[in-house]
Amino acid sequence: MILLKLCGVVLVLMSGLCLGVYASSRLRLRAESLRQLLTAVAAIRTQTRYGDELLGTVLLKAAGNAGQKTGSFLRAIAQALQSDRFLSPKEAARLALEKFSPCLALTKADAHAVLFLMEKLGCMQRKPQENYLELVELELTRLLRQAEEDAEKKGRLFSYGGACGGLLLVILMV
Amino acid sequence: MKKLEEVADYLPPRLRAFFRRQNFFQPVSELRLRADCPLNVRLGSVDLLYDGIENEAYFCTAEEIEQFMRAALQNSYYAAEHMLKSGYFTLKGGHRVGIGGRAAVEDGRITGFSAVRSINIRIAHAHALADVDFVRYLCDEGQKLYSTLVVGPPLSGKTTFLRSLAHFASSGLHGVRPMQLGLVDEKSEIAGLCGTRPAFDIGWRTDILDRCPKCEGMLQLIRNMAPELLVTDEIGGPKDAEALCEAVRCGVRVLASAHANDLSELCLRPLCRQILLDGGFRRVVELKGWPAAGQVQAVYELPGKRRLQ
Repeated sequence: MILLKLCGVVLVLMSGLCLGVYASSRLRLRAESLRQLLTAVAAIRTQTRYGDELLGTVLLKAAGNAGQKTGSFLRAIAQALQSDRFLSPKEAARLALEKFSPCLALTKADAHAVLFLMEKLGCMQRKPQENYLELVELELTRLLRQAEEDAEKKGRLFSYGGACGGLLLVILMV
Repeated sequence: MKKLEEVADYLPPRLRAFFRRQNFFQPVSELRLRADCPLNVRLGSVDLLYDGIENEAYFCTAEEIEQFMRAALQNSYYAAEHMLKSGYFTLKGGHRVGIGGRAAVEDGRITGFSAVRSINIRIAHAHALADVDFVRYLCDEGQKLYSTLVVGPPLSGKTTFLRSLAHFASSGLHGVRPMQLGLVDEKSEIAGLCGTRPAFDIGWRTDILDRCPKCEGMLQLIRNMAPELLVTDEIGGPKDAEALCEAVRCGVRVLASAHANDLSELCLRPLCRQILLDGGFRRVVELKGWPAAGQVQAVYELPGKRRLQ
């Protein structure tokens, strides 16, 4: 009986801790995704400034510069654009977000920034597009700073909170 | 009809379906889309307006024009910026798309279009010449093509005619002696280069400078590729005369086109008169746009403007 109770206590404690760690890792993942998106935007800006390649190819190249998950997200947008020429980048991004949002850990505000990026991407000439991408970079940088702060402050809090929550539950149950 | 299909691929689904339902009795030469206006199709000299009176009604929407632009430019306006500044871009296959709408102006120069309201798609046709008898008037005793200027009003088939002559000269067809050709295709219409492959047969002896300014392109070809015949479209700018003179001085013959109803009208334009005098042209071909594009109205010998045909 005592052994069973001990097992229960350990399980509750572990679950609380895991929940806390998971929540904290999502915060870190969000920051990482935003960092990769920023790298991709910088790559898009360079390639549309100097190159003559089509948006699909530009996105594929930017996907190569970004990390694995963000890369897959950008690749999905590029493939959607290449397979349906009437699809706008914003529509393609919305479809890709539906699929990739959970694994990128993006918030609503982040998704909004991504859609803002895709709304006019490719539909402007070089100079205005460069200014537009700079604006998007500023917004993404702001979100990244916020995400990093959250990961720093709330990350530890969530881990400890999870463990403490588990402990509290054990005490209450005992 | 294959050429029309190339363009239809870029049309928004509703318009494409409408287009495929129509039974055109002649090849379509031009397609005009204007926001909130009836579709306008040109078949040779016949102008069809789909306003619901004589023909089935079809009104284009601003959204459809935006869709077409997006599909045609593949969401990459920046890649076609240099062409958009001049109010056009070229589709795969050499079809020229002219655009109208609200222009974006900076320092008094058009830098692009902020809102496109009308579109004019000109369908490029391969060698449509029904009669090639006139070719003998364009060759010297050695069967080499003289420097020739092709003159005609819009839609008279100047580009198609140039393309055909270039093909004849490059491949040595219809009694023309084969020549090394240098083609400056500023608007990517004559050869319709897609990647490294031309959309039209312009012969094996042709070197192409695609989307390159005419004057610079002509001089560069003369210096680097040693052509015997230079081919270019729509001359008439101030720098063109200079580049043509340089070509003549280098012993290169020129095949070019210019906008004008006829030779006398062309001579009224000082720059064109200058080009005729200095450009070393020995023949002028006048085209008429009816009953079909590319019909030869007259061939003149220069100097003297003696009519040969």
